[in-house]
Amino acid sequence: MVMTETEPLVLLDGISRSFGDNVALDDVTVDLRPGEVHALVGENGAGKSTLMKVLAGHITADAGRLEFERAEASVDHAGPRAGVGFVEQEGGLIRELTGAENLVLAERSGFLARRSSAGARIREMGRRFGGEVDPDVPVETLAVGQRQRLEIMIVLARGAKVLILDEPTAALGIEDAAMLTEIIRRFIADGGAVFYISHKLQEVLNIADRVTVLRRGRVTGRHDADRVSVVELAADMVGQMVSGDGVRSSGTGDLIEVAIGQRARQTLTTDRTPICTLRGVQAAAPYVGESALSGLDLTVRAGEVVGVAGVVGSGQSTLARVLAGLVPVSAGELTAPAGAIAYIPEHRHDDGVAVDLSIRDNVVVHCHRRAEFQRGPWFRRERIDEHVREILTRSRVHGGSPEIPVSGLSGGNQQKLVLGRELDENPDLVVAHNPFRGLDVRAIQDVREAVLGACDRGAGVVMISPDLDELLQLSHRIVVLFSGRIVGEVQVGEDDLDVIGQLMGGVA
Amino acid sequence: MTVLTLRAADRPERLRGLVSGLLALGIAVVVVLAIVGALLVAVDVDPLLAAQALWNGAFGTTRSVGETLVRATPLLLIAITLIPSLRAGLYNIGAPGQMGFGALAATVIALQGAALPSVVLVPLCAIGGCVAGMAAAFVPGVLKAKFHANEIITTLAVNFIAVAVLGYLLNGALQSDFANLPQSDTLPESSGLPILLTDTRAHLGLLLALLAVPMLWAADRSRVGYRLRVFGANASLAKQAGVRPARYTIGLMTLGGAGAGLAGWMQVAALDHRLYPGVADPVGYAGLFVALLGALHPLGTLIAAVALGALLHGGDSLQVGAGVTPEIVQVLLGLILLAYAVRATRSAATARATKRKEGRSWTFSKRS
Repeated sequence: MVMTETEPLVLLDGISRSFGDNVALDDVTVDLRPGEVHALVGENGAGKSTLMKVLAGHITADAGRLEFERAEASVDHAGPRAGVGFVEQEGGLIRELTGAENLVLAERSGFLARRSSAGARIREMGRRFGGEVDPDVPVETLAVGQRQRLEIMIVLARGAKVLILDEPTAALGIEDAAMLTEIIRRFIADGGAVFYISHKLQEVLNIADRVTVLRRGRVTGRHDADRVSVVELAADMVGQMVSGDGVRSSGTGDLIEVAIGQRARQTLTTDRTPICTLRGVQAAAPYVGESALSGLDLTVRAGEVVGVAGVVGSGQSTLARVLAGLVPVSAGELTAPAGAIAYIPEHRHDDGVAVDLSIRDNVVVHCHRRAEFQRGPWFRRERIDEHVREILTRSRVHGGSPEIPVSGLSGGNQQKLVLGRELDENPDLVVAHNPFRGLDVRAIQDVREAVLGACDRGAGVVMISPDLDELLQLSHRIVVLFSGRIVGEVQVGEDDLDVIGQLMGGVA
Repeated sequence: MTVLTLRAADRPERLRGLVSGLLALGIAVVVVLAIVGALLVAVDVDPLLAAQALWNGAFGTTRSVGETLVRATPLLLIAITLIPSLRAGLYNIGAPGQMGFGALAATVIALQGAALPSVVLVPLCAIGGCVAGMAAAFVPGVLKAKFHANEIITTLAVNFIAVAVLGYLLNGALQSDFANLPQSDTLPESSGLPILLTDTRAHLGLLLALLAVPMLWAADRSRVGYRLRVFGANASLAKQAGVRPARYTIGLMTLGGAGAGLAGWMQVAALDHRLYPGVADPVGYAGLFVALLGALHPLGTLIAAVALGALLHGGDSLQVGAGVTPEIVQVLLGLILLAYAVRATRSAATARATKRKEGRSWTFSKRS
């Protein structure tokens, strides 16, 4: 890889940007050289995405200057910037259209566009960079990893020299992540450069050449990837001080532990009564690209965390919804828990919160039926508000009050709100699907504590994640899901973990 | 000072939203008035004189105030009962048909029960009209809930059915022996509604419609209102809150039918005293317009209903007062609707753009 002495491809110099009173970026200077992967790490709200949006031309900067290929580029007005391709976390393709149509749309060539040549160009990019995806089928029929590769190929077909990847592996399984790495390697070998945003520090060190750490809108660390450890990065990320709001109990040490992915303490409670049993369960998939359940057996016991591993699309979403009682079982036997079920859904905005409604409305989804909150057909507002504030405090949701809409909270705080609401019902069963997706270390720590707390109180926890490390940190045992069935089980700490990878691929 | 607010927002933000909303509305009104004024000048009419005639026609005398309220009554009733379904994203545009069936049922009951005393007959007609309207909306509701049939199409279809049924009956079984036109016999005196304001035609139905306003306000703050709000905002979350989507869909559609059915009853029992095919003509679709213009808010809708009632009635006196054809009011209404539509979509789009991603180049945030 070409390092040092090269003219930078991109120079972001002294960039500042505020949203109201909130300073998102404060005099940030970062450069990107051709042929390198430059990682940006930091907590949620550190300013990584904002900085990249300035570069991509999605938003303007208040101050600072931008050089792209040694030419001055304006940061004063927003608009698409040629040569910069931003692949966002949630995926930016239109699901109903094919890859070729998405490319045509992106190029704004309208009626004159030729779809066949657009498809050919995507295929060409796929061959060149090792991400071959069919550009002529609707995006929604593709699996998550394929969609992401398609989006990258579209961005490259538009002539991007700089690729911005925001949390690219958050939803990917092992194989897809490996393919992504290959694409990145070939792209930088071809003279391209990549800005890489991630919360997974080990992954960052594996793939990046340089790492810049942001904290509260300022650069707190610049490192060469081969001369820095995960612990040092984590320390830069969380800063020297713990925010002095008095609510937080965990110190910086804990946070660093979380950041470097150490295993949480686990003592299995002695009570092992089955909470929820599935025998030969079949259920239809909730959406295209997801497996239906076909003869799934699973027993969840009190006080344990069962990790569910598997390639994305193996039936995780179906299983989560069946356990949450949202998808009916078409055959087989499901013994549901006697008490409440807490459901932390995979797509927060689809199944977890109504972003336009107030925090109050979102918190009382389950508890609004409690007699103590009711006066005839109306609500006792004071009591409800008191309860809502209590949940906000208990779940460490920052910046929340009952009146403001949920959209006013950051993603991590929204997740904590969902968790607080669900655990408030004293559930017997907790179903957590990708609960850490896109969260920073502090939020992960809070979510982990909350889940383990429920576990200590005797709840059974089912944790579903494509990230094996996450599962290994929390679970007592891991079951592997493959095309709608459980194909194997591994006791964490006893069995050989290599077998998980084989099981996930349907081998063994 | 509300329990579970409608549009949750913190105070300054809400105030800013209100100010910008009013500003946008003000601009729309000014632009529309300027266009209409220019039109009037083009046909050699003094716009100020026309405005004066319009105002006098709508509010000049006790009688004209009464007429304005008479026009506003069904608009308000339909709009208020449509609001809950509109908030949930259900577009019930079947008010004309539901009104027609309501009027039909009320007419049949009144003619058959002519011998009954007023205290019995009036409520009977009201209930009959209401139930008929509900039934006409229930069918599209069930189709929507069970088969995901588009409610805009099904309710529109019911409107055509209503016109056909009324035409058939009024040219046959129900046709008056004393008329060549398709219209029914005169309804008995005992089915008429008491007059609210002397020297006007403003009837008891106005009270009913006005009563619906605080009822909606109260419902917004109730358990049902909360669940409806969640249902409208996020169907999956509503399911987790114990809302059964099919039941709510049918219920919301049927509620709209109830309002329209009652409006149909009022039209025949209080005003026309006979049934004819165009019974729903001026107000049917306008109810939807009023609800949207009132920003789906109870108070806004009340204001919108009175304003539209004034325009509809005041327009009739333009011919006499200023020598303008009353159709200019239709032009005015059309332009207001247009301006409203432009304003609404623009602000919705920009609000989304600034909230989610500023100046997005081309991507949409859709769930992958």
